[in-house]
Amino acid sequence: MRVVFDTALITSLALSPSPRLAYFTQHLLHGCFEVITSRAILDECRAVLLHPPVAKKHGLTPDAVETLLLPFYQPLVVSYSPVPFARDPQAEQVFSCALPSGADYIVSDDEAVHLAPASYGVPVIDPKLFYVLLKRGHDCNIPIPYPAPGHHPRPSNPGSRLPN
Amino acid sequence: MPVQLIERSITTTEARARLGQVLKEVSGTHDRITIEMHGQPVAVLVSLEIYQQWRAQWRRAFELLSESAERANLSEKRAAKLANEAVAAVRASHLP
Repeated sequence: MRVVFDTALITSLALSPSPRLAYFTQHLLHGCFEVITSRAILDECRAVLLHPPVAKKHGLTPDAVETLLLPFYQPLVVSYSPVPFARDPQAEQVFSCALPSGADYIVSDDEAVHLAPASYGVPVIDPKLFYVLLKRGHDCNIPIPYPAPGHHPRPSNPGSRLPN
Repeated sequence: MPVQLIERSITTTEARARLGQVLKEVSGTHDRITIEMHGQPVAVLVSLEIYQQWRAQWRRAFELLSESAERANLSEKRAAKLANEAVAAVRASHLP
């Protein structure tokens, strides 16, 4: 499964402790899905993560931000390919990444992206639905480390439970 | 700086016939070979080094995300709001 994460989603993952982050990690490292991105998205992520009001909250140094973004460059960064029919800049950015790369889903909380016509050809889902899809995935027979978000207290240090 | 991957596709028939040569091609390189069945990608071959590097980078990235999220400690709603505001501000600053 190939998915595109938008800038706001990647940024919000750095701002809010969520059990979903560790769950995504487990599945990504087990090859259950692949994150596809583009230079436009990564450049914007860098700028947004270094934007003072955001940087003040997460406390990452510029070097740490580079380290954080590094794996997003692999295994696939697609070339920019304009989508002239997308009017919203955010929608244009994610669809111009998703369409040429054959993404299965765009994962976004952005209303404008969700309002994009179905005729664009790539379903847009929110992070909660993506979480549900991963849980239901028949090709990902790995242990589920956490219950559904909001139903149980979150672990104190999700990062310590990453697989080897 | 990101590594520029060389990516190409081969069929399962070609993979079966030339497995040894294909493995030599990816071994010790940054090449990535997608194996297609009936025109659909079904697997990707990369060197062990690239695969391990990729896992280590993702692990570190998610550790950083976890640490930063714990520090910021915003609710999902507040985090999404701040992220969207920051995206809007960054885009506005790039307008001509």
